[in-house]
Amino acid sequence: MSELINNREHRQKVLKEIIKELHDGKAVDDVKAKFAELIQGVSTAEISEMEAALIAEGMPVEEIQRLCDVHAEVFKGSIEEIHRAEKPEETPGHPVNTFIKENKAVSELIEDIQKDIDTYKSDASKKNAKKILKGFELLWEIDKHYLRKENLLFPYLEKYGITAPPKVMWGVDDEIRQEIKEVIEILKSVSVDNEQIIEKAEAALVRVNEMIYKEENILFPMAMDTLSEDEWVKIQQESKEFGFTLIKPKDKWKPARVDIEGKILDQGEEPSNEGYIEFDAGFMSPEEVNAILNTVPFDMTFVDKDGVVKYFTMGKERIFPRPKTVIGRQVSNCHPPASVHVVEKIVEDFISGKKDHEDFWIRMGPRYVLIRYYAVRNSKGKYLGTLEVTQDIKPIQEITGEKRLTTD
Amino acid sequence: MAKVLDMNKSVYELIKQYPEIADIMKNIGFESISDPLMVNTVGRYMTIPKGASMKKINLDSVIKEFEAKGFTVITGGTENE
Repeated sequence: MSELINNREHRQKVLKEIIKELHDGKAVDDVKAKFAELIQGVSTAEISEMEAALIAEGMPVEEIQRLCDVHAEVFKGSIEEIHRAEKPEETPGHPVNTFIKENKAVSELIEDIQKDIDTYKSDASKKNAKKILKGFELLWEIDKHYLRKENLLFPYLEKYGITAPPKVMWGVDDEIRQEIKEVIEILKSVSVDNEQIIEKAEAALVRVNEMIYKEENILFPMAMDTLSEDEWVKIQQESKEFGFTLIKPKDKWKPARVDIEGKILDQGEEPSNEGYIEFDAGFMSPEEVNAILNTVPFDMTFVDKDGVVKYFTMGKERIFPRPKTVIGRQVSNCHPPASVHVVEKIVEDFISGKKDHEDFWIRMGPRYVLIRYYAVRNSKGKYLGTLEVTQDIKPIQEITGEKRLTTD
Repeated sequence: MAKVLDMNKSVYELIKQYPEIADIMKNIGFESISDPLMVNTVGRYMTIPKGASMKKINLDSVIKEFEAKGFTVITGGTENE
């Protein structure tokens, strides 16, 4: 038992060291490994407890908040690892999981049809031929599986430059469709050639099976590595229009993040990928807006009215580096539970209108960082979100006298 | 230096390691190997055993072919497949 406590004390000590290193200006990347090692096999609950204990000891909350970025960085890594262990494709409702389940149902159907064909081989009766026909009519359902693959999955692969494989596969899909149709037609026709039925039917079954192998061994692993989570969400949303083959996926797969683009659409706002955006005074293209926001001499992060991290600027030297994976996350998930109430209080005051901004300033190694939070409101005063602006003010504070000439 | 051909590696990796295997594989019946668009995409997920299974080519004969060309073929760990 004391060993456990000592372990805990040791971890606490390391955590303090990490915070101190961050305080002294070390980059998130430099302490990431140490933090990752520290939290190995440690529950997130214990990490929050450790952080709470440090605050109780008198460590300022702002210091603990430095860990936020390290958290985000490290958890990005481990979330991915957890994903590998859990495999999203094995999560019910994920498009790949649905594809694989359909394949399983199709494989079972193929086994049944093969049995009917074997029966037919020894007794070529009309009744037995009808059984095969019934099986193939069901097998035609695979058209929906192929349609979803071709119309929902392939466009994304093509977007990432994977063009040749979808083209080849689509061609094979069409051949399989043709073969299934042909078998159905022969079975429906009046004059039936026994040999021909057996040969064509078996050939078609083999090809369907081959496609299952190709999908599961190549296509799906490739797609899993290529598509973003939001893209899978879109595929999932659009899947219903095409329908499913032999199964009905009930479960809805919901990734932990918010699909920002989808959120904008849900709010009835059109994303403007092209054309100009109209401002209170002037027009700019999205490219210009993006470049300007990356040029301003401070960092900005925008959290929307629902507390979702929606955007951050990508200037050359960010004071608090942020991984892109924080986009779409609840800002409260990105702060240690122990300090969340500080963030929540600020936001609460912004929403109620009690405050419009709140400033903090901290020393960070050679930098003197001014962190300012602003309530963002529309022209009618409606709260739209919180804007965080951070800037190293040391060089500005050092300014004295005048400078009227350009620098060489 | 023995040329070791690891069957667990992707076709893409193997071709980078030994460019000459593209021709050998093409002669065995893996036609897509001459399409860089396929090798750069599907090739990263394709292994020789998977390809042989898809193309209905006997894997042992593929291995013999490579051995005849001076490769040492290792196939360990395929139980994960």
